Amino acid sequence: MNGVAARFARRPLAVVSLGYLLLVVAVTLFAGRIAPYPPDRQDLGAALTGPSRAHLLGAGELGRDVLSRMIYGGRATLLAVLVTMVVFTLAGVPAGILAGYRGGRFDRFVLTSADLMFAIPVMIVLLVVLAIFPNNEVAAMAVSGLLGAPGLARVVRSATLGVREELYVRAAVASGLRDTVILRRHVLPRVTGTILVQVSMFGAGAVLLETGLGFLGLGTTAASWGNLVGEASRNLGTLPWLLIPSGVLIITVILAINLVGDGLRDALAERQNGVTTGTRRPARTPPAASTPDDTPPAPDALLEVRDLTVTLPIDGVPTEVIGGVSFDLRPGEALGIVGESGCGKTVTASALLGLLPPGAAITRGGVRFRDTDLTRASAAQARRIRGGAIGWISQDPIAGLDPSFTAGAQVAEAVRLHTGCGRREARRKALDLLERVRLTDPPRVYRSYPHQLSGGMAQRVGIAAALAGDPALLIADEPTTALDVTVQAEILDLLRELRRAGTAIVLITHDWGVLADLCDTAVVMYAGQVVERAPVAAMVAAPVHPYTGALLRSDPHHAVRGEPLPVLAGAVPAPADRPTGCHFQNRCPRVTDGCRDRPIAIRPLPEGDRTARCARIGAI
Amino acid sequence: MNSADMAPRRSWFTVACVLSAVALALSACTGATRKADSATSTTLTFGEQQAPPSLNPGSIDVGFVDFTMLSYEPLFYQNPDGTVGPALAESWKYAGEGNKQLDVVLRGGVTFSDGDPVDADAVIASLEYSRDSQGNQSHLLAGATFVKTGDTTFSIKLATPDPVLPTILTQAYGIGQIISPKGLAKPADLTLANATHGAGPYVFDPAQSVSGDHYTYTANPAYYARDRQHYRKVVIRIIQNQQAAVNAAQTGQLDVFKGDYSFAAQARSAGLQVVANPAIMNGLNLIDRDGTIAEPLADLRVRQAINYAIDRDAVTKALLGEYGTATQQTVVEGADGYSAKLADRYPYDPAKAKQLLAEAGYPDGFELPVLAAVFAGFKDMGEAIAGQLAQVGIVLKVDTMTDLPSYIDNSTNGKYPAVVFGYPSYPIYLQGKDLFLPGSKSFNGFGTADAKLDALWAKAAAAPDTERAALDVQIEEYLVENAWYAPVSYTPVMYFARTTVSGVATSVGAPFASPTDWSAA
Amino acid sequence: MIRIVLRRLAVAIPVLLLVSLITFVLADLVPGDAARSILGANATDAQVTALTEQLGLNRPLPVRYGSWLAAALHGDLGTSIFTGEPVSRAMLDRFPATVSLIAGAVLLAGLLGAGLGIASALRGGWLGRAVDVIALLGMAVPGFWFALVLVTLFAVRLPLFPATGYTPFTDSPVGWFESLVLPVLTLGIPAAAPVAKQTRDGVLTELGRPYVHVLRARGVPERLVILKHVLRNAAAPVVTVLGIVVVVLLGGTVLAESVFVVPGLGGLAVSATAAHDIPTIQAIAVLFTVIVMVVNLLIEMVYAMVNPKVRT
Repeated sequence: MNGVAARFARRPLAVVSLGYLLLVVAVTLFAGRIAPYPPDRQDLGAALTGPSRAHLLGAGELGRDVLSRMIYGGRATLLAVLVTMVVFTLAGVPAGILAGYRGGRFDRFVLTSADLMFAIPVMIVLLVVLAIFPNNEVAAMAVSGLLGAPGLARVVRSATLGVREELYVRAAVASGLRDTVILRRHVLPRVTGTILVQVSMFGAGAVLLETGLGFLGLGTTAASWGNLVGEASRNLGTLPWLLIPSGVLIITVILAINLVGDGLRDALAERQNGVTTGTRRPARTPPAASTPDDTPPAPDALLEVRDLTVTLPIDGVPTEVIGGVSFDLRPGEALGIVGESGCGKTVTASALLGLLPPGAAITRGGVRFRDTDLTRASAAQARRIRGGAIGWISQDPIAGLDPSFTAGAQVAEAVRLHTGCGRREARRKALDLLERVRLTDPPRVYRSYPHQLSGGMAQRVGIAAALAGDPALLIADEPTTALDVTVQAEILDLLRELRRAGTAIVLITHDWGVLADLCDTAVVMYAGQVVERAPVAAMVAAPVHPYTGALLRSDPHHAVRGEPLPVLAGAVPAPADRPTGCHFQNRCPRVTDGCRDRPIAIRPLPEGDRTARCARIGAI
Repeated sequence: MNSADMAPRRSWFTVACVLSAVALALSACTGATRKADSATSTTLTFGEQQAPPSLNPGSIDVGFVDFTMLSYEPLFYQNPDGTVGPALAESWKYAGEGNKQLDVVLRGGVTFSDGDPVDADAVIASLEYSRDSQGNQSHLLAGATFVKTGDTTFSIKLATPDPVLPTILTQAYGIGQIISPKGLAKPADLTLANATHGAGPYVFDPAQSVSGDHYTYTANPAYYARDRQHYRKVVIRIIQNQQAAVNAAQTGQLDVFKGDYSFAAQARSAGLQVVANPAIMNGLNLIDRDGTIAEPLADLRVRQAINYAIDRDAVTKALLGEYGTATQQTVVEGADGYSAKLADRYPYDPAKAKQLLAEAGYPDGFELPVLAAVFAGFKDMGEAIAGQLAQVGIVLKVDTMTDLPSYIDNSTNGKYPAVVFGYPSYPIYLQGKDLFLPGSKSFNGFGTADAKLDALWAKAAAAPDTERAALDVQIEEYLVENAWYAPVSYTPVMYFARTTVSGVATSVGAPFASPTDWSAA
Repeated sequence: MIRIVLRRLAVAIPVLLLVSLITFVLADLVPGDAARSILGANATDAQVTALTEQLGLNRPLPVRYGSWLAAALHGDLGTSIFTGEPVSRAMLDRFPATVSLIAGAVLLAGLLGAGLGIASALRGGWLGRAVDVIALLGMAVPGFWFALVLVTLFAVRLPLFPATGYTPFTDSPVGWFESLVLPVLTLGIPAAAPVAKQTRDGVLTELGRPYVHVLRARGVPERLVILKHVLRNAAAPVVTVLGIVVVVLLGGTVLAESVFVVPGLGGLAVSATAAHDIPTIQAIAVLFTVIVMVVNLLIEMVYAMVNPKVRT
């Protein structure tokens, strides 16, 4: 939890809220020393008067000091809230954890009783409880905690279920650790965050409930915040001021509890996802822009990417994520883009379709498809090309389909969009497409929902939808990464077949085998830049850029039996941390001072049809 | 060049979403502007805080008489000034001496709303029903017999003297409201589900009513005194939340409502009439005067010390502002039994209180369990008294009940030696029956019997009006001297009325206003 | 779908039995007695005893529960021991107001919440923060306080709507609408907060899913991507939240009914509890339970409609 505490500490609003809550608790605990009067001290002469010297926040009924009653009232209120939260936690957490961890009959029992409890009208039960124990707020609040517990049990159960499936817990189970130990050491710490958030939200609700009881006159008879509110509402006509101190106190406390809960939730989410949100690093100057790539375009290109430069706001500063990317593609050609994760492959591919993440901007260069400049096209024009002349195949076949619609409906939707035909016609064409991508039982697949399909089937459906507009170009973003090896081969066969039929392909991959298999040209990207472009065979045979060489050497296909696979040390720098000069300088074995001075331009190589971005070409 | 051109356009959609959300919130406000529809003279709407269990005047609690008096004409009529005038009875007089027989002459030619004639038989049947109905006022007619002396004349013969019988048979008490023979044929049907069977100005209409929310009465076409039928329709709405009542009156939804002091200032600034009559005595009822469970209370000096220890003016001002009056007696100034001599019998004097306590053997005070309740201001009164007595060393342990049944049970089960209570400034005769005689259980939980007091009361009951006044004063003086109670304040019965209504008035003799008196201004 | 209904019905019967038994026992534990509350302050003990016997309140608890249950199974919920009216009539009188109130509040919470949530998800920035602030305030501002503000502003200062009361739809549709506006705003606006939050989170989550990118890459117009695909997938948890809102509102109506003097079931529950009117409490508890169960059933059905994984 230490990491969480640190992350929590970075949220000023949450920290201030926590501080405020602690202050309120402390003031309440030391009420005897801090409050100017005992809570029930009467000053009849001052009854129902506004703020004065003697009564800083005014005096209520019987001239009791509002400030003192607020301070002492925290005792009754916070005690009631505490009791509620304790009952809520004690009843909800063990049931939830056991149900999630054990599963089976106990799980069903907990879920069913949660269902049962959910159907009980809480308000009626509370009214009856208060009728049996008049003004016994603690009893009523405890009952409300009990009635709320099934909800907590459900949430904790599903969190536990998730943790149980994780590898290390499975390992702990397999290694024969006792359940109690596993629960205490491995499960509880992982669900604590969820519990804290739920309990804090319930606590905020409990403060409101206490106030409501006070307003209805059903709460405790001792000084409490709820009673102050009740007193204020009774005397609204005489001294409306009374609503202010109690109202402000209650609203701020509830706000603070909620903000602390939100802060906890975010801090936990961060730990789990490893992303930082909400905090702001000091503003920094944008890194130097990349140098333009003025390689002349091929005259007969279907797709022409020229000096494409995209920025994304990172910490509020527009930062280049890809810079000066250029390449061409002729009709029927296949081009592969390789590189490690974070090199800008997917951003490049998305930019080809004019689909950029929110906030992104194309600051230089552009993409021309046939006669259309995609970076300047109207929304309608771009839409006609997307899915029409250019098809897209996604990385994750099942998640790439909308879970709420049948596979067929999604293919038919694409058909209708790009052919403008009627429903029945679209259905027929969709079935044809499913047949064309070699699915065995097209009508059954048509009726199936994504969750009912295997990865391979889903990817074929994805390809079928991409073919709906009879595209001249297919962009495939790692289309086989998520699939089994045999299925991979089948999908690649299908792509090869499409290529033979004349469709141009842009393939994004980090698998040299796939690339060599399918593509004519290879483009290697590193940290947002194209570092080398060459015919595949030539590149594999003789990589020019040190990065290309390193990538090729670490490829499992090239592994030499009996020798460890060479690993490329270090990591791709994040867009904000890219160095001036060669982006690869910090991982390059052949780096010189000249590599660091200034941005490196991409240059054509003498053997023609090849370019590379390295200051040391020739020197090598 | 930025991404907006290339990225999907979302702005129109966002705008649409925001607009629809805002439009929704505002659509509420664009409804036709509402006219503050002032009460027309054809309908009177007034607010009450509690819903009645039935509309049976013979058994209903006296707190609900407003609901029945609209439909059930009483035998006599109590005017806003407290005097008793004719209603179904045209004239009446006590026969002989001792206040034991009342001869009554009924108005002729009057019929009930259900068509039955109002004659001696019908009225006697109704009174007999009320006497036997086990209702909470039945005891006021206990032992009475009724003798028909003609078609429209009869005599009420009492077992014990009753000098205020005509008052008891006015609209202010349920038992005097007369039910028709058709209604009495099936008293179990005198509920909120059926029309009423009275001879009053209005008839209850169950079809236009929702129990617990509103009760609608329409004009009775057969009513004998059309000049006292001021509206075509009367609606009683149950509004427990006082703020809601003020809002309703301010916007013309209510013409009159009974409320409490905390909203007087707001009501006044909203332009409502404020009719306030401090007539309900609040204070501490020292019921364990014999010291059964709280020994100190048996000592007169202790009871007197309690009376000396309370700063009545300060408490009254704190709790009731300008609308309450401090008191040491159970009757208000100007009422039967008020003693000018004892008006300041127990001035605020904590030193004297301490001295008396010391003399009684309690120099350090003692602890006293006290019963209170959340309603009728008893909680605040209890806490205020506790604050006062704490200064002379008497520590009150105040238990606050939330519902009436628990409060009543605990007032009479011998668990609490003292009770925070309220009692209207009724005639001394009635106070005897309800408050201080051994049989008056609700307010005399330990059944304290005092031969001298009982004899005085019996003598006053049988005395002619001229002598009774002096006897009543003696009774009150006895109660004060012996410190049976520690009265603190008279709290007002408050009516808030729009200026469109006139006739909302109360007096020493009639602390509660009758809606039958109200008319369009 | 039918399986869901049948399964829910199978659970419904034990739940109803349980709830009625619990309320019966609890209500019996309430101190004081019904006869006393009917007869009032001045009744003698003899009167109280007589009425207790007449009402059959002196029989043992299991006998009373048994006879209540037998009658209830025949559709007879009994008569209120306080007013002597059939309980079913009191409920019928008050049911429309409560249902109007809750339906209006849920509708408002749903439309306002979903609208704000979608807008803030798509726009982010100040709108996102505004939704956060509204959501926080919605949870923090006491309901009665909000109600008082609304009445002061829109009934007293600006006489747009009635300050109190309820006009049945059959009396005057316009009056019905006007009488509901302020209480529905009181209940609905705070209830919109969790709906907006869930909608925003849901839409943002869905927008980040791969299929959205694929749909856009397929040239599906943004309008369709949002309305047909994203909203449909984000809807299920929002429906769940709305269901919870209904259940919370069942309790919340007590307050709104008090401030706006609306003759609803919440107020009936409060006064019945105070008056020890067990048949009425029983009937309300059973009715509330039925409402909650129907709502849960509806949620599950909507879930099944939206989510093919549940259905298939």
